[in-house]
Amino acid sequence: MAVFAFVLAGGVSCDLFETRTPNDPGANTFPCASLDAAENVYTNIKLAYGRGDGLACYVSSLADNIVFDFDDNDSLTAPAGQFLNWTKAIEQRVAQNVASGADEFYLQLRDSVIVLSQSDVETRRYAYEIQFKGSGIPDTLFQGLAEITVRKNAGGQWLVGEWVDRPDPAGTTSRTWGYLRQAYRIGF
Amino acid sequence: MKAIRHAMLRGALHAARGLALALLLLLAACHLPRAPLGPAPAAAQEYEEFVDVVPDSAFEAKPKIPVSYQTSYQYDQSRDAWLQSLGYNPSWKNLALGISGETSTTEDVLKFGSRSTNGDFFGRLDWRVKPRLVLSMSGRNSMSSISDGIQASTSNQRRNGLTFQSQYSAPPIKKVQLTVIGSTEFQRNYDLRLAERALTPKTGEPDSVAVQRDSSFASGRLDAVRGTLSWPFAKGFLLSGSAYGSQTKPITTVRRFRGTDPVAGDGGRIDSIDIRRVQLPADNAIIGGGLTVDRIRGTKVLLESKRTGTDQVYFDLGQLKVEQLSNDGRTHHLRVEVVPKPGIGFNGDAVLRRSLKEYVARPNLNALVTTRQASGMIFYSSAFSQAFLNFDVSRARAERQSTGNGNTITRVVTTNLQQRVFGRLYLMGLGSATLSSYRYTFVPDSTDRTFSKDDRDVASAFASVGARYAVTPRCSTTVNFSISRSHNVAIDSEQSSGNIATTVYQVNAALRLPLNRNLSIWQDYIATATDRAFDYDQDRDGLSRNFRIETSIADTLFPFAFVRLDHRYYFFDQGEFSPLEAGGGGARLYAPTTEQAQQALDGRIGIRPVQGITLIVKQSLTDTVNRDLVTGKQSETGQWNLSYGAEINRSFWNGAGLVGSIRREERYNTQSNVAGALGSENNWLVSIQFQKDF
Repeated sequence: MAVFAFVLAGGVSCDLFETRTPNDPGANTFPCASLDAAENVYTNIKLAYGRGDGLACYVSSLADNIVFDFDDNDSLTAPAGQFLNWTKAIEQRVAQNVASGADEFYLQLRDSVIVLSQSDVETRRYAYEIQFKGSGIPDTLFQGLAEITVRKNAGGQWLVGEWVDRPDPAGTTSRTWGYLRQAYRIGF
Repeated sequence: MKAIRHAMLRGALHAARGLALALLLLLAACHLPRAPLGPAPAAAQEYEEFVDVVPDSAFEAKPKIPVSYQTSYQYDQSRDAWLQSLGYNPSWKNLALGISGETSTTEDVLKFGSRSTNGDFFGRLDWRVKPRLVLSMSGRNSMSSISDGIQASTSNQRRNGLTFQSQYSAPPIKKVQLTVIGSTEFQRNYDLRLAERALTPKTGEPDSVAVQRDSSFASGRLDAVRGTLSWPFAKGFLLSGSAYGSQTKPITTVRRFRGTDPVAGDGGRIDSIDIRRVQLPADNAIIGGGLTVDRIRGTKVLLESKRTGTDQVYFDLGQLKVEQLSNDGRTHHLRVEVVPKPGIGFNGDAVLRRSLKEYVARPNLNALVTTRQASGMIFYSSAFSQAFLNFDVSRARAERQSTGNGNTITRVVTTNLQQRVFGRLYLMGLGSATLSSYRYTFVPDSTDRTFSKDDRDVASAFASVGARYAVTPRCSTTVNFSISRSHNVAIDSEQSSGNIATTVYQVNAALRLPLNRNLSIWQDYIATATDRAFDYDQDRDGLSRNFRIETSIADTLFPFAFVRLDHRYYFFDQGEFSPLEAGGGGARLYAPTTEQAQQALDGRIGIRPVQGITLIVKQSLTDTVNRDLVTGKQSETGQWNLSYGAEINRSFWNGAGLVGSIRREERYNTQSNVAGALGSENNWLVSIQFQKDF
């Protein structure tokens, strides 16, 4: 037992699990809303997605066990495995890639519809439009309907638990947010 | 003595020969000339590397095996699904037949109304012509149809294949077992994507929709040969290997249609039609080998290597182009297992992996990832103690990607300890630490930055200690304390403002008390505190606390009935810390800003009128009080829930079985002084499964 404790303590004390020292942001402060209200989660998604300085804010708004439900047509038309096991860790890396791969990024969430509203769960459906310009892909416009469910956890935080993504029949393109996401899932 | 020496020498020679051959095979795997991935990779046609060798056990005589049928149906407030499957697998002395079919339909009724239907039918016939020769024929038809509820787009896929296969197992020579399989598969694949979009009508013109119809039809023949080898060339040495090669040259016809149809009436307009015919060859090769050394007692060493060079050509419905994907992979793996004495052991693994994927239609997905990984585990087990320690380090380098090139370093250590102190008292401990460090390739820019602006580290740790005391074998109590922490750190100043460390402290205890054979009491206590600390924005630091007590009393009144009562009390508050005094001094005091108290009472009764069927009624009331401690406002809501239904788990005639439940749930809110919170909701939930052997 002592050996196990010694090795564990040794590994931790040798800085093997220490993060690097970050640079002070100075006056650069991303306005991340606190997660004590469901409304704030949607605001964080809108403001933080696609921005490098907003990544921590966006990721902090997602539950650890978040479930993404992408459009079946997107899954069918993407290369095999692109949507497989889409966890929070995958979403973080993809969001990072989208942010760093975008020369221009503009996200609009509009026509909000409250599908479900209870004391500890809320679902809203948005029509979204993303204008994107990046070196990785030629597409510049992504549209669809996002049905986002946020839940209140034991710590009182509202976090995104489910994210359903579908094409918008009223849109001008069937390229969805999911399509953009899978295009930046590269190598993992 | 001379005979013994001779035997030892002969054994050594065998071992040396085996080792040489193993190394040769591994070398071949490492430096295998790449399959001609060439200018144009391969088939829409999926190749099947791992077609099973037909084993002798397939011909075990079971001529009277029944046809098995299963169906299930599920319905809830958002989705319904129906699934059916059928299987028939009789076999005789030299003949084996396998038939299977499965269909499923799913409707996403309340979300977006999308619907998908899938079906798969497969048949196979194996005929043992000679003891070592097996001829096989198999056919597969599968389909998939997906439509969005709003009919914005529909996708259809069909896959048809007919395979003829021959398998020959060579007679063992000096314990060498060699099996060779040759096969030819005729393939027909069909894809269709239909998209419709409403057009804004001009004045005087009828409403119309833009129609986009893209389809592809691929037809080809896939010739493949595969072989497996197993050679225990000396005691404790096993050499194994497998090789696969295939070739195909499918013809793909792609048709793209763009047009306009009126919503009502006849007519319509064709805007464009594009038809192309493409023929591209595809060659695949996979070779792998392994050497297992099990010579020394308690020690096992495994060295294996694999090289793959595969191509695929298919119509990419997303890009509307013929995609050519080539995949070049290499894996080398060394594993050592040492068990010096019972209860103590060590496992070590070292893996080198390289994966190169190149797309023609989607070059943004190109990636070369080289991974080096090492892991080790020590474990100890005795009558009173159990423990393990696992350490894993890896470094993955990504290159040739459109974005995200660089290194990802991961370190993970986990441990688990359990010790019986005395009698029925046990101590338990868990611990883990993880670091993921993303170090992207730095491209110098106009700033004085020396690393990528996207560099980021994520560190997390978890520790838990607990004790369990079993007063009697059926009565026990447990206490546990845990801390988990995660720290998300962006390195660059442009992104580090959101750096945050979240720490969760939790204490929980449980009591399990069966008072007699029919009456039981359970209690759980959980207290949690979540602290959020921003590295550079302490004004946003926060703390939340909650406490929960759950009590359950269950009584089995009669053999055919039970009653259960549950009570839950929940308290929660959250708030902020006071800012530091000017100059950074003073204490930061916690001040809650909101709090919530909730109580819930559930009662349920179950009656089993006949064997396998239980009728259950459940009624619950939840009362919630929210207080805003800053403004002094308070709101209170109550919610009634009624649920009634039946659960079934019973067998009928001749092995038929029915398992499932049907339930009605009704909910309404009362006592609300929050606008819009009043309301009710009613749902049926159904889940039923039927199976029968004919």
